[in-house]
Amino acid sequence: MIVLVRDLCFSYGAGAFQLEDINLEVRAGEVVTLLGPNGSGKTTLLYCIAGLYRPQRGQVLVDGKEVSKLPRREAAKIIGFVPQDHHPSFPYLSLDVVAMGRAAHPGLLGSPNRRDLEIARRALEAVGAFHLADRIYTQVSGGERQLILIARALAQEPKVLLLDEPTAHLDFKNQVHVLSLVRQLVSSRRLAAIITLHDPNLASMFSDRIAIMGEGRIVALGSPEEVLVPEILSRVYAFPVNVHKINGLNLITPGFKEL
Amino acid sequence: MNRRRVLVATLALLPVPAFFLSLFLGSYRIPPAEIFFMLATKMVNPFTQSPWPEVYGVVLFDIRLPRVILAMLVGLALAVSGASLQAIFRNPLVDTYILGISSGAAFGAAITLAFLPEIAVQPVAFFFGLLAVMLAYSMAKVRGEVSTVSLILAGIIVTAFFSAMVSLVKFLVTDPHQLAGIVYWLMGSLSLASWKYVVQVSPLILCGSLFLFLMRWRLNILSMGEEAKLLGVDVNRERFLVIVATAVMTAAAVSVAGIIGWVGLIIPHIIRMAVGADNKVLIPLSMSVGAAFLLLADDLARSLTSYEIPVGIITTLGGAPFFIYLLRKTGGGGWR
Repeated sequence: MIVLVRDLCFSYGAGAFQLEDINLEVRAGEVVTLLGPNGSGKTTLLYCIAGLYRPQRGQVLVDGKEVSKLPRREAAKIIGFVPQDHHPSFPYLSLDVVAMGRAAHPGLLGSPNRRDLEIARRALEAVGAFHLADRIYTQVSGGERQLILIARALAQEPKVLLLDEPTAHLDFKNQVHVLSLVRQLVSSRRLAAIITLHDPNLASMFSDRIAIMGEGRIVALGSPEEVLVPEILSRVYAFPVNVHKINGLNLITPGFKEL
Repeated sequence: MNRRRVLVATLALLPVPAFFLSLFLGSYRIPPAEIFFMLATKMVNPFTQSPWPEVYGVVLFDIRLPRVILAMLVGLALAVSGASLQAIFRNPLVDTYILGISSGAAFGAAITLAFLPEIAVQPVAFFFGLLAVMLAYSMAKVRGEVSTVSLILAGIIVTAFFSAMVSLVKFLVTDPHQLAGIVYWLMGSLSLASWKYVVQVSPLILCGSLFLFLMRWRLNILSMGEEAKLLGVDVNRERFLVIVATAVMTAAAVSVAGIIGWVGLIIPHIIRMAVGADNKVLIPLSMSVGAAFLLLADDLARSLTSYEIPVGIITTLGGAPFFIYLLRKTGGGGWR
């Protein structure tokens, strides 16, 4: 088990818990998607797993270590994170951005060495974006930038990949492209991936298991077939949802329109 | 790629011709060949019996050389601090004085010039410059976290406070000569340069710039903002170290040269427009170009007219139009 979340409770301030009694296990080679309405705690849970938020109760073990007690430097060696709100700052070259994934490796006063740059280059290659290496990353398209950020996470050489709404700003094709890339990287490198998504259809296509979240709890956890059912989805979204079987695919639609 | 290399090398070596040119310039004329000879002789044996007229020695070694070295140190400090602060604030409009150093130091200088004539201005200005940054930093610290937005706001508050205090001091001063002294100090000038100043500030500026030079790649990562935490960086700690280094360097520079504007803002910009945003290159080039720029500006300040113009006026008057030109030419200014 690479990621183990046990009885986790978390709140930002002194108020009510934003996350309550979360239990989750993720194996190597597995993609687990967190799905749920806005404010259900998906992103908060992702940040707890990354060790950026310290839970009030319970614990998160990644690769056997409790992440909230790890120094950031050690955490970054096992957890690669692709954030949703990435605000580009200066017009760096894409390869330089990917090389930033090596930040946990040289010392405080070091710069990346030849090996670090080679790892960065191979990470760009792995996401099929080697041709972007010398392009200015503030000038590439949103889809290309997402690939660069995934490559940056791969350059950390992590065991766990966390992606916060990786499809949020992407077009239809790029949504599918990015998720199938993640799927393929997880299988070939035996990573464990936890992704937050808003689209139940994409979640259904690319996840081994889905955790449906509602009001800070995991409401249902299981394979797409098990949890993407109208009863559960209609309940967490408080809105009628239909599930249709078409050519062996689950197609999830809003319930007010019969197909 | 090759063209870029030539450009980088040219910018890196810019201080060398600027250094010699500045030694040649001055109201007392010494032939350039003589200057080379004097420098070479001193380098071989610093305690040699000078075979040149005594006035040559005084002009070159006691007046021009300390001033040239001080101008380079101050220019280097202001430019590299500006570049580093722009990276950690991830904002190209940030300049060296963002955290209130200039007005803190100005206050220190003003009270000494006005009320404590028996005390040297430099240590007091240095102390109040650092105090201003410390105030801004501790104001911005909320539950152990220091966000860049609260730092900028705290810097504005501290700047406003000390500016008001400087105005108060000016208001209270009755002697017009003292008032003139304060006003002149605020304009920024290297006319008081001496070996004593060089000895005072060079350790601080050189240590600070060595630290920032070694941190140059980390600055790239720090410019990713809070996201750098995800990459394994202790953002609060590293940001704090960079702020301390820039504060010490800037306070040292301001304490001997007054408030010289624009160097910390435009030099990093110009380099970004010329060779890109990568701090691995930007930081060392900010040092060399900053040193050369202030040196040449000071040459103008002391040789343009028969009396000295404060160099702070030259850097602003000369920097602003050049900046406009670059901005229009590159259509955005190297941060897009």
